[in-house]
Amino acid sequence: MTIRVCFVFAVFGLVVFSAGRAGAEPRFLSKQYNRCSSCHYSASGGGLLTPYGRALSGQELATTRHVNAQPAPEGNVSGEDAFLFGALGDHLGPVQLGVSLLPSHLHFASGSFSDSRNLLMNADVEGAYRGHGWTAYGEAGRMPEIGSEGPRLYSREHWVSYESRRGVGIKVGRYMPAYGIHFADHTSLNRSDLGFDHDDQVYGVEVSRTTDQSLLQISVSPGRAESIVKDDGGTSFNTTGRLQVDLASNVVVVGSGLYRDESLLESRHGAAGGAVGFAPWRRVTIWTEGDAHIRAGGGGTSLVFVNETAVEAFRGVWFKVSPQGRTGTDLSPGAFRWNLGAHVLPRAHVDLGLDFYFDKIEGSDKAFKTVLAQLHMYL
Amino acid sequence: MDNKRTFKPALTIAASALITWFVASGVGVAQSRAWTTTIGDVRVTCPLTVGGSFEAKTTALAGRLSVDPATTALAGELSVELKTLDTGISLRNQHMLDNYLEVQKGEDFETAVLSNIDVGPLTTGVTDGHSRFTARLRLHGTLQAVAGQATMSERGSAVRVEASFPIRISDYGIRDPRYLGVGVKNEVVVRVVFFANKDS
Repeated sequence: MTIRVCFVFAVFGLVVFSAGRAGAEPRFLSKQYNRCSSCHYSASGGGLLTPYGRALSGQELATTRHVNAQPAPEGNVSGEDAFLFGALGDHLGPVQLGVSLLPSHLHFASGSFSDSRNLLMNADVEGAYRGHGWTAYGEAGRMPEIGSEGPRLYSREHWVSYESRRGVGIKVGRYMPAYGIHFADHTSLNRSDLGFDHDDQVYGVEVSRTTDQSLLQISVSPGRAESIVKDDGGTSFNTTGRLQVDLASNVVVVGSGLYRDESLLESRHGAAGGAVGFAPWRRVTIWTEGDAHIRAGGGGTSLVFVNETAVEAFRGVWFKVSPQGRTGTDLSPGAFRWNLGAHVLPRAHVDLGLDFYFDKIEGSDKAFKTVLAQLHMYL
Repeated sequence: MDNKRTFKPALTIAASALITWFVASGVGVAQSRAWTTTIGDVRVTCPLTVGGSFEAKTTALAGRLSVDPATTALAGELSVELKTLDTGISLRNQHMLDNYLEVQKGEDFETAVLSNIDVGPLTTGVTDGHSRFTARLRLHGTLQAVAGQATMSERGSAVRVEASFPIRISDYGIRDPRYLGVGVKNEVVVRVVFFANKDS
């Protein structure tokens, strides 16, 4: 394997395809869901589904299930849509639980080099309680083996929040700060390249203001959570801001900003960008985000572009195409990616996914090809 | 989701208001006393309790209005078949129609009807412009007064009318739309766009 291939592998290979949190699905804008908070406890998307999200998954998104016009009398999700297929009945009361399992098969190749492996990307338990404006949220699971680190128990998110009746909220704990579009694929260049990958949660405080047409989130943090826990020298003040304006139920614009102070490991840097989501038809969603990533200390500025066009060809059968790019700087080469994907949701909380990634690195004549097959079970 | 019922009435009201305005305008007074709606688009924006919103849409707007010289109110009515409302997903549609609009209860629940449309000074003959209107909306078997704003513009032999007005779901005896913790706020906004042709 050449040095160039090794570099490409390091950037786009197994590391970036390691465990990821259960993803948000911005493609559901085509179903007139312009906020994550209908289906997820986190306003930023991803993670544990609310009872509404569970019911929607089974009755609206799955290929082989249909609407149950009469919800359970107690108003709780039940049957196949519920936690562990409803085996616990209503014994959990107001507490909601979920188990996320993500066995995957990964194959990658570049030139004459190729490799394959099977991974259990996710094995997490998620729980939440919500009442009287308060939400307590936590998740714990198995962090898979990465490099020299063996598998271990891990909690990516744990936080407490309160939202008033007037839409003013505050969240404290460990969470992923809001920035841009939270695509389910954490390797998207607007996430991984800007520091919003699967392990980039922060310990901090987020204040928010939600109205019928807008959502503003501002986060302040002493640093990335993993850097604080491990005291690896990467701790530095950082803040993000994100404003979403819903121009219509199927048209959304987003503006975001990020600032991270200097740490022992990284120079001071920040980002600013905008995104537009548009669902021209009831089965088509188009998201486009552009960001400028500015790095001090001679790091220069790179531009990041991500588009995702998703089409529901048949109920529960989705196809997507996602061109992504990043301009190079003196310190890192530019990159371009084609991501083609197909996802099938045959039953409630079962998502079969097949993605193909074609990555080209500036200055290299070799392409890096990755095929990722996933079975996401959300019990 | 359950706001579809609310949406339909709102649409009917908006359509009616628009037609009324058009009829009352100069076109109606000068050349014809009756108008029939052609292309119509009704959208009810439903804000959610968790933030964001969705729209219930239909193009099934129909009606005929005429000028009554004795009053500023228009004779006739506009109606929307509520079963045609679409929110983009079947779960919302079914809950809205069955559980909240209760269209299965009979004719008074199947359609939203706008009547007694009064555009005031527009009856004196303005074909382009903006005006406040009032009307009565029957929705979910309940009749209530509504008021809003309408804008009209001539398009060849037809008139394009765009109107919007808010309605409160609770005013129509529709129970609080809520499903598994996600609900629709009590006030929704109806926006109606349609073209009206004069009757020959």
